[in-house]
Amino acid sequence: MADAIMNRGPVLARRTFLGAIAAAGATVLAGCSFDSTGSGGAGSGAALKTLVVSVSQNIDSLDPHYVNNGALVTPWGLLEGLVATDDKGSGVVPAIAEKWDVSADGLKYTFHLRSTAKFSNGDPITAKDFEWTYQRLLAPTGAGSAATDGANSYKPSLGIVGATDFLAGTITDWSKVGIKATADDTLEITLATPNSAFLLGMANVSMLLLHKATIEKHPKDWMQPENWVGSGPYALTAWTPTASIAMKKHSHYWDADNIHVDAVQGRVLTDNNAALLAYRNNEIQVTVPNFAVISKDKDLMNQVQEAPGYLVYFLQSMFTKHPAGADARVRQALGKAIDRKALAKIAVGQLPGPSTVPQAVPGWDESLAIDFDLAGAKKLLDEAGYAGGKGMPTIQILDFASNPFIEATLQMWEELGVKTKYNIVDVGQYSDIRYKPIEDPNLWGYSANTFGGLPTWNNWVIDCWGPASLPFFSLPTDQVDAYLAIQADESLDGATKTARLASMIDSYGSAEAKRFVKLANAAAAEPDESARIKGFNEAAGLRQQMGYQIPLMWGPNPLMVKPTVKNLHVNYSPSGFYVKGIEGSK
Amino acid sequence: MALLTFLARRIARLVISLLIVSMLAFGLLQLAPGTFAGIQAVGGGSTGLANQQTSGNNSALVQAYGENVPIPVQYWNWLSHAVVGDFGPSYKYPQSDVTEIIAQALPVTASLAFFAMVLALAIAIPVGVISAVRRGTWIDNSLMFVSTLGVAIPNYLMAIILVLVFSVGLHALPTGGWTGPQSMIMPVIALGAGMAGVFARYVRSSVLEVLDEEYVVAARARGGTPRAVLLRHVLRSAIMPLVTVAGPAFAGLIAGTLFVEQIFGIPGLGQYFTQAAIGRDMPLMMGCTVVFAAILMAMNVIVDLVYAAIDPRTRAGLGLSHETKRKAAVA
Repeated sequence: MADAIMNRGPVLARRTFLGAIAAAGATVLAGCSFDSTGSGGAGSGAALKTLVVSVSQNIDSLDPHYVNNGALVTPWGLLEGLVATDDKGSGVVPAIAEKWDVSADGLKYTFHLRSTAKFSNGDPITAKDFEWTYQRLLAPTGAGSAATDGANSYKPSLGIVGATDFLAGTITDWSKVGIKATADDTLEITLATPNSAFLLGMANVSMLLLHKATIEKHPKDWMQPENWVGSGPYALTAWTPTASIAMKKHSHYWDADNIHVDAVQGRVLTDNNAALLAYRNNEIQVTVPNFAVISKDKDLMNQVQEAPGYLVYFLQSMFTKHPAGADARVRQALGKAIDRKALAKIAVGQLPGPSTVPQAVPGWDESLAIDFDLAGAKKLLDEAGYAGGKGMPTIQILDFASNPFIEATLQMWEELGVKTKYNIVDVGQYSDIRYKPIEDPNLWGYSANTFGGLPTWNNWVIDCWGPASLPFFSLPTDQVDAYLAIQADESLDGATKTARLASMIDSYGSAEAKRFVKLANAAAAEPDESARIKGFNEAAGLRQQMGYQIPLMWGPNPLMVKPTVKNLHVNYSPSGFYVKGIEGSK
Repeated sequence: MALLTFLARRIARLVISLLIVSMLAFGLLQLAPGTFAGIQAVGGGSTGLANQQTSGNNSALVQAYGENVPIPVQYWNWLSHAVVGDFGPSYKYPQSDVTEIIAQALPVTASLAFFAMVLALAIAIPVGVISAVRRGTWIDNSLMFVSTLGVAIPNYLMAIILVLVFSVGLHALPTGGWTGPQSMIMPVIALGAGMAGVFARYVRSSVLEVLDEEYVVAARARGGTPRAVLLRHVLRSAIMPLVTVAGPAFAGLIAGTLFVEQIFGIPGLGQYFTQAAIGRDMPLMMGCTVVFAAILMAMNVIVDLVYAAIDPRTRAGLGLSHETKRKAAVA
């Protein structure tokens, strides 16, 4: 039969051909499922029923216990913690914890849970749920380590007794960690040292509450809408990682009366032009502004709300065999030669960033600012033996995307007489080489980076370039490979690895770096707030003098919000806002 | 029997080719700089959550995915699961198996590519024929100008233009999303317009060639109406080169929907594929590569079959004709 068909003349009758096309079309259409989020739109009536927000990254996971893009959406209202950030984003308000007591020495926080707090399936929330959640967060074999990127989301600056040791595997007895459910409605958290930023840190996405029974029953699929049980005011109804997420208000939430928006939808729009078009077309009400495009549109600029000082653009020194890299005067000269006001004019929406701690941090001192001082920079180079840039290696900036303000920075450095190079590489190569010694002895430079977070000293002095990481950059170049080899050694247990790395820092780290560690730790442990701020300022000042990080600009956490959306307060979380209290009209 | 033999031979060749593709892809991924963990840590800073990026993070990855064993063993481990359709869990989306991701995303991309292809052919064939028949006139020049424009405008730009016109300007369609058949209209046009331009030029030049053939002249001389000659004699022959390019072009459309998917926020495979490549999500990258390669190869087989179906002369070359065997037996 087959032969017969193939040996006949032309056999594709028009009807057969069109039929085949139609059948194929029907098959492919049947195979592709459309989103169940609904078209949403910018509200559908007098009151705002559905809030539609653009999401700039694929939502790869909703697990708050390791670093992923779920942080962009879960804090909207899928999950809630003991406390939540206030409207300004710089303080906290009660959430599942109705109130809390702090011991006189500032070390013990006792959280009292609401009797009305329930999960989205109606299960009551108890302190044991929190203890289980935090044990999962800190377990070396928990989500943070099982996740493929290995980046646990716990913030060490919280300073919970034993937390980082338990996470590192140096202690295995959970009872030694300062987190205890002492009654159904009471959770005690003990800190190693007093920490005035502790409560704000507890509002971080990593400290949100999960539902134990669901995760144990569906260890792989607990994030799917059909299995979802959450602690926030909204329950997950749909989720397509590359396209959208949808959540709907549920009746079990303890404060349901203050949830005015029935549903929240996130639309993944990785192209910021597409997001702007959707915003202009009233399909979404909240998006990240594309300043380069909207800066001349007064109406749109008026719709921008910001949490200032959320992000710092900075350069991170690389390891070079050239002696110039080991001279703090040279690093300081490069920092002084940058006209940050000019940079901020290039990168619309950003501010000049003269220090690695943004001004938004309470108690920030003007003395931290690095002034643009070309003459002073030249003088420092002269003192270091590189007058007019003579004898200096080529200075590169390593990056994985082209940024005009980085090009401008290099041009400013050329004013010192040094040769520069903008080295744009694939992101994989960038991640491979940014901490490794540069082979070419006539090449040195910095890698371009950003870091964002809460406007607290703990965040900007402990979590970012803090005692755990800064001394690494002070190692002599010939010791770096050995240090990295210990880090990568799979045969070492956590305790041994930690001890060996500390030993290397002790032997080879610079005296200034060690002094910084002492200052930063002392400031973090200081119970008196003014002394604490003074200590942090001193630590941050010393860090800047070392020059391993050169600040460039400060960026806000900005959102463009339709005027019809009321009471949306931009905060310092990656998700940008919390949905409680938001209301509005079409 | 000839057809079955032909299919068996082509499938065997396809399997060997896929094996080679998978080896090359696996090898090249090993050579590519960076690891999933390292790249995630680079992006982590902007979410304000990243702990320090360390080689220790990388070692967790190495342990979790058995990358501490020799590369050939890793490949064998991957292959032994892949042959039964198990591509393993994605690094980036640990809650999903690669097979599940592909099963959900491929139909979306395939539907876009399919309708874009239908649109392209529906436009290109009449445009190409009219241009050829009206060769040298203002109609020909205008149509070819528009075709060239279609080719010259990249699909992502076309997508933005469409959104500006139909969404922002006329408010007729949503700017994006994937909520129903209406979500396909602009992406399909954005993808199909350029392809239509390419095809139209192919059709025009092949129709021009065929119009000068003796059998076409003879058909006209026998009193055939221009329409009948065009449809029965010219178009059937002129369509052959189009079949040759349309198959691989369809596979190319499937692999090339990335920008359009990104602009319209469509959950197709293109987005997963690119993110996997950039982020070194090895299992997802391998799964996508093998699937795309299989589609491309399958399209080539289908093109051969369609060729054989519409042009008896090609059957001998493909080993699909009894005549070939008879000639071989005589020899």
